Amino acid sequence: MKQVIITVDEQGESTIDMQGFHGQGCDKAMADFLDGDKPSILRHKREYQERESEKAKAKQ
Amino acid sequence: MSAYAETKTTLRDEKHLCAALAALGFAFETHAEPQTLIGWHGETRPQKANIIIRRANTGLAASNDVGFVRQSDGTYAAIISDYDSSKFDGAWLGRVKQEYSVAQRIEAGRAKGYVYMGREQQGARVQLRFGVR
Repeated sequence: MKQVIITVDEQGESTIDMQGFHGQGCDKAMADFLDGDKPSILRHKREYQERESEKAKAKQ
Repeated sequence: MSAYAETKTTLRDEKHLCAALAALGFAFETHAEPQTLIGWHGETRPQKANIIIRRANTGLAASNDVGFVRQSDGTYAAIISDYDSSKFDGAWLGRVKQEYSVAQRIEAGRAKGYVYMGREQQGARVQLRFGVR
């Protein structure tokens, strides 16, 4: 199940956690929620990297 | 989980800033052109602001009006007198930014077609959940 969980701390700093998204779909969804903000930290998790790796292998 | 990002909040959208002040329970005025702030003795102060919480509406017994002025780069800066800075401190401004960010993320998510599933208070933090149609 795809979910987006955003935690906003008491200084207004947001952590955006994308759950169940893969590959470029994850990038697009993240951009939707960043709403033009530049993230101070952006990290792709294992699911994203596995998906991208599979796509690269399929192209070979 | 596939990714996460952290962002800091800059006050740059009047609509979200107004939503934040309303969420915190403040009555305020908005002005396209900055208006003069009023001080302790009813005197006009040199500072002007686009969004003004009149001192009688602060709920924190402020001596002077509190304002937000739109700067040349489009962002808003808080105008808080030295005398009131112990009440309207960094923690207060942090809560304004917190509610600003909440309003911003909810609107962004809804505008892009995500399903807003609700807000949960977790101590001093606020957690928002969105689903995908």
